[in-house]
Amino acid sequence: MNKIFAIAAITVRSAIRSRVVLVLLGLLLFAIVGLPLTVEGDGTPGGYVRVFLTYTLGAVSLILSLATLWAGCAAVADEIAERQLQMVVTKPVSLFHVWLGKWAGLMALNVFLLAVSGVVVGALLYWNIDRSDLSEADRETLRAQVLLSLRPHLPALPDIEAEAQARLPEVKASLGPDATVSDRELLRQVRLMLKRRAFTVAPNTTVSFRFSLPDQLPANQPLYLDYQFAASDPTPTLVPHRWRVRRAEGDRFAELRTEVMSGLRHRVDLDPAPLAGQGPVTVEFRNSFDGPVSVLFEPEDGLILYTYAGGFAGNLVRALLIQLMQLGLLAAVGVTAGSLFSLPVAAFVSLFVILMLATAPYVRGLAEREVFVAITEEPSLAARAVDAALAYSFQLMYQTLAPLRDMQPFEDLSVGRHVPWSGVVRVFSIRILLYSGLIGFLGSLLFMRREIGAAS
Amino acid sequence: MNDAQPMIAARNLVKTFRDFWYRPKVNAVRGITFEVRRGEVFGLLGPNGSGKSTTIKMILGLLRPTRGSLLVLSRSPRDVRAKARLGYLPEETYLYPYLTSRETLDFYGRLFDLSARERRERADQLLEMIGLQHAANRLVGEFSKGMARRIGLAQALINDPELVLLDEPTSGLDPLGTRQVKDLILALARRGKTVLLSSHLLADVEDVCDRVAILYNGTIKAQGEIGELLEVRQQHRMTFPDLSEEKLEEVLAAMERIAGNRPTVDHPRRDLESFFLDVVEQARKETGESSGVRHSEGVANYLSSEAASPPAANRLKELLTEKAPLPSEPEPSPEPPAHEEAPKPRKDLSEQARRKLETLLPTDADPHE
Ligand SMILES: Nc1ncnc2c1ncn2[C@@H]1O[C@H](COP(=O)(O)OP(=O)(O)O)[C@@H](O)[C@H]1O
Ligand SMILES: [Mg+2]
Repeated sequence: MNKIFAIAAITVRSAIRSRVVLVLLGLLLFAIVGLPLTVEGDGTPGGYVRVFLTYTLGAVSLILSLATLWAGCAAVADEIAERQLQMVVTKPVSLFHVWLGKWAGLMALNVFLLAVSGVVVGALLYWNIDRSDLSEADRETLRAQVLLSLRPHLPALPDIEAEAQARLPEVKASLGPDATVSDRELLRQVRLMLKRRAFTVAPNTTVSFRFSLPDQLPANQPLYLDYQFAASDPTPTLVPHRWRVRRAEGDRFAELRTEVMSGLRHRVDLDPAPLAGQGPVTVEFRNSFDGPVSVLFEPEDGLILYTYAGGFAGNLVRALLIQLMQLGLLAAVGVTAGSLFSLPVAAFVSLFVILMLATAPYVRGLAEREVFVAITEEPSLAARAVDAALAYSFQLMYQTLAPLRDMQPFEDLSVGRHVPWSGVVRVFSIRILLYSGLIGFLGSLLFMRREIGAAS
Repeated sequence: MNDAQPMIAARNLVKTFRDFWYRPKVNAVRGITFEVRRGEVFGLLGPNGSGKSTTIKMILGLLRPTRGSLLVLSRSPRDVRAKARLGYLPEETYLYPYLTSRETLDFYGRLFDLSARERRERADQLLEMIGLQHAANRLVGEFSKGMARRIGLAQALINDPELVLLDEPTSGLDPLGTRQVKDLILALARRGKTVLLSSHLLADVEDVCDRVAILYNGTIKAQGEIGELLEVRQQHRMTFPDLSEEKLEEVLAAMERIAGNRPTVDHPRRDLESFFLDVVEQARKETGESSGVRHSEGVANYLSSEAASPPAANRLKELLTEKAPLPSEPEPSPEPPAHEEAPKPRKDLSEQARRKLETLLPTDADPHE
């Protein structure tokens, strides 16, 4: 442990004394202070905050990611090339110590730089709001609605599985005998259809949704429904409707009648006091349109109930921690590449790895496909073999990359959406314990195969 | 580990460097066999490119032997337990430029899990020994080659190693530093340490080594006790105090009568090294303090002694000692910096013997064949 710490310490010390840290700090501060001056929000106070946070924190992440990757590659590759490592590894030190020491050193620097950036961003944001020409009411709105952390809740899904299975033969029959769709695909379609049906409200009918919320809902803190629906009438039109909300079975409903345009997001504030208690909260939507127009909520994000989850500072800290985990993975990739290759090669290899990670969302599409080259009616055996191999590789790639799909903690932060501790823990276990650990372990094994003395 | 077991045992050691396509590129070491015994100073002597560094790196596990067997302290060279008892000075000193001298020594001490106190004490003693205590807080990146070399030497001793591997320890050092390093090696040997050093400088090896292996083009051309290798058994040499013309003529006549032929006569010459050291000493007396490296008080005390004899102060110390105006003396240690017998003048070799050594050692080596 002492050895790892010693290696980490000289990494930090060298970075400070060679003024790398100073330069990075300058760059970060420039990005934080200078960049927001160049952009305009959408005119609303919330828009300004969103742009400010995503720009500054996005720039911080970009700078630190590149710096971490480069420093990670250089950390070991440079010391092999300049042969300092020859003196280190003739001491009772394993290359795993070296790997871990370098990684820990880089992470210590990242913690420091991220912390400074976070403090500056936070302070600057509050300062900017205070001296801006916003009205006192606007500022109040910002503090009460954006500069905090709100936890989104989605309605519980009705149980559609039994019905989906039951409906499958009927749907299949309706397609006729020539249909080429697989059962799996068909079932997926049926489920989707049933799910959408559960979120569709016919004219002059009521659909009720259930949300599981915490027992206590803090008074004087926001609690609201955020919703958007599509209307079956293609011409945009005002849709009158009624919301009713209650918790316990026997309670009186809180009620609101309104009409809004379809296709836009809307917000209904609720009073938290009557909703304290136990069990799910029932939310009823009545489509009061006088005519044959149904409305449809997107199951994924058409109807969200936000509850208060904490202040802005805590959310910022958690978002930064998630960013730190991302940097941890980059550091692991960089240090490993630097342990195995010379500096320029290592830089390209790690850049390639990062690009691979960034392709995760596209690989998903590929992983779902089964046919790539066998597109003819009667595909040859070879074509089918190629397809099977491709499908398998894309599956494997997707399975490997899926847990690493890009997290957008600053996106959430900037709109006041809660960044949960569970997310921090999950990112930590996946990126640091699992992926960085695996990369570090395999990297060290290969590293040990290298002849440190043969630096050329 | 008992005394009979060699500290290093190499059998038919081969190292072939390969290129990117794994094709043999250079046969750097071509099947060498040697042993380094406990307590001796063993020299690897050879011209540039003869495979000295390659051999040392294999002993340290920095390079993997292509073939052959190699045991270091009875273990594999890559065994961490062996490394804990080794000290290594590479042929060039590769330090972290942004650390100070003291931080550098502290860092290497930590790699041996030494306690903070031990590290501080040892660093103090080592800095004193290498004459850089006044540069303890300067960045080593600003050091001259010789100063860096001294730091390299100090770090090799931070763990009080049993076996010290020095790859061209005197390269980059001025004659004074060279002399100090040689005295240090002798002092280490007296404390029971085993030293393996490589050099292409004949004088280095001649002055300090008990045994040598002469390496040429990756093979050992000669190996043995240095005295035996260099003795010219067919001739004798006598040294007289300055004699008058007549007395010398008398002696020669007597010798001619007894031996049957007339011996040659000349004045013995000092070697340049001792002459130079005298000149510097003279200059020091006249001008006082120098801003460069200062002179040390012998060997760091913590370096444990396994020999029965008390630690030796070196000849140079008696010649060149200068008291640094330190406000406080370092705390007393169990072994006070002792004054005692100057080391016996070792292996002072004749010009002829030197020539013999040179014939053993071809000057143009080309291992790339
Ligand atoms: N990493 C390496 N790759 C290829 N050849 C090497 C390497 N290191 C040393 N050599 C070659 O091996 C031979 C012996 O080198 P070395 O052991 O450094 O010699 P010495 O230390 O005796 O001067 C030289 O010809 C040198 O060019
Ligand atoms: Mg060499």
